[in-house]
Amino acid sequence: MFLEVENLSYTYMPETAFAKTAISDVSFCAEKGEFIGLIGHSGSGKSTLIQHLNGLLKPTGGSVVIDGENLNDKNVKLKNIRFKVGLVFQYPEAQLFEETVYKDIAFGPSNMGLSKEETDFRVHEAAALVGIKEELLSKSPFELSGGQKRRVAIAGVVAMKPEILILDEPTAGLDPRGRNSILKRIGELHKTTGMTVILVSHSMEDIANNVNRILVMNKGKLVMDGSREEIFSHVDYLNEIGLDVPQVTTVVNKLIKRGVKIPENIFTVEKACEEIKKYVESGGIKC
Amino acid sequence: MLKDITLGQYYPSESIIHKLDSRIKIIITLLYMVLVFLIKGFVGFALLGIFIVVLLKLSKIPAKFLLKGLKPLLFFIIFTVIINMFLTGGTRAFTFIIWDVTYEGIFTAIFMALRLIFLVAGSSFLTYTTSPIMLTDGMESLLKPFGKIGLPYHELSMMMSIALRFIPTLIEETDKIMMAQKARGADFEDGNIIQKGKALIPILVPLFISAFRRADDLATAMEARCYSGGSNRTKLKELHLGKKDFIALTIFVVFSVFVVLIGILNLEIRGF
Ligand SMILES: Nc1ncnc2c1ncn2[C@@H]1O[C@H](COP(=O)(O)OP(=O)(O)OP(=O)(O)O)[C@@H](O)[C@H]1O
Ligand SMILES: [Mg+2]
Repeated sequence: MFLEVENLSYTYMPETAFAKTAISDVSFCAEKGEFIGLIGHSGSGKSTLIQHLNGLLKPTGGSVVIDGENLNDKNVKLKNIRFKVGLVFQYPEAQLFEETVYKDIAFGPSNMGLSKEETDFRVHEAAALVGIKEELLSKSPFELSGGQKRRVAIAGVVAMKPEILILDEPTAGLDPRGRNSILKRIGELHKTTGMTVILVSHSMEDIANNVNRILVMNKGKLVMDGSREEIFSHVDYLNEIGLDVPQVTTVVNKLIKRGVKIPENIFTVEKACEEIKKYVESGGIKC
Repeated sequence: MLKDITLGQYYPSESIIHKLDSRIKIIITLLYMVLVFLIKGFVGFALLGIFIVVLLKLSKIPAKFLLKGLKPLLFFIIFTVIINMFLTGGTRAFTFIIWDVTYEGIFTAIFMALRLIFLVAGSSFLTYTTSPIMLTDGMESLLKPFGKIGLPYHELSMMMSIALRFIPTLIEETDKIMMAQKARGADFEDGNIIQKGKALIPILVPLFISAFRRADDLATAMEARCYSGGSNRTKLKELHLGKKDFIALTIFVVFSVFVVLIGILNLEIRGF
């Protein structure tokens, strides 16, 4: 196993009046090359959980093992772990600080101690991957639009070529085109590099369109872990914990209830179109 | 982590001390500060120690929380101790390498350390037990008489309440930005002074940008709600002086007089 999380618990400000257990007893594993979605209602502990995966937070209980290295171990160099596990924060544009976009993307790679040529190569590569045009590289990051800033921030992590890429709501607050293009880029990145990707999102559509495995958090606990099909078949339970299935799945389920003969487990609009078309052409519906 | 700084924070709880009128607490704190400087010997400090312990029990604040608040002062205290030890003249006690340490120096150093600790420990109860709003309301009310000589007391207390309100927000923000830069391999611990200074840039730039944006947003929000300060504003929670407040003040004054009398009547232990 590349990533093992075992009985992980974390309490913010323990032993004070503000003590707040954000996650408790979370366990899961991940292989190389998986594309995992992490969902859960606001405050369910998603961000807290992923901040443990590169050692930013020290667990109050349990352990995280990356590639055989236990992060609780004092001898493990956390800095190196952070190059292996790239973490893009929620609203990452808040972390931009350099004079130019180029320099900001180069911050990670230069912290790794890479040569100038290698850094240069990676900056251009990462910028291209997230869809930042060359001419923007010499601009100040503060002159960019929100969506462009977001891309720059993601490029800053991608440029470190991590083995696991974790994105905390990368599309929050973006317009539909921005969302789709960022997600498409991430999907391509996953396919071409074989990177493990963990995507945190509140959009069931984004999750359904991209991932093949879903982790569900509720009140700090990991309550479900399974394939897309498995998770989205539990409509009632998801509703109960403040989540939902993709809208198109709701539509399809209603159609099925009305006697339309199309298969269950449809999570994307494309697939739904295809199946409904098939059904209509087979003469199931009289127009 | 920065969050561990407890000095100046509010510790919510349902204790008698929390319920005291903030004006009384401010006055007592000021008197307490004077008292700390009037103490000349160990008996006084012992009494002060008992006072702090009683306060801890009454206010239901964990001792750990108080001690954590003192931690940032450690460097300052050590610094004072060293300065006093070596720079006070008198009878020589021993020689440290080439510097003479005197008996007087040792005692002054201990006194100064105790004074600092008690000063901070006692006065930090003011913020621990008073919510920022109550604190600024109290300040405003106490400063009101100075309005006659042109002191903009309302604006001052407004500024203070905004500042207090944003301390935790800024700490949280700093924490977040630090984490984000650490995730990109930034190193805040290792290196010499110059490297450490340079490492602050990735934190300070985003922090300033967000602080300015916040200030701007707040100003816009206040204007959008037609905020105008001044004497005509009413308060949601009016301050009320009750029996318990006078009792608290009386107890403290009696205690102070007692402590000062011990000093004056020469019942003190002064070491030599
Ligand atoms: N820095 C912090 N200090 C104290 N408590 C915190 C802190 N960060 C988060 N929490 C608490 O921990 C719990 C989990 O928060 P977390 O940020 O992990 O949730 P989340 O699932 O990422 O939510 P969202 O979807 O809104 O981003 C929340 O109840 C929150 O109040
Ligand atoms: Mg979150």
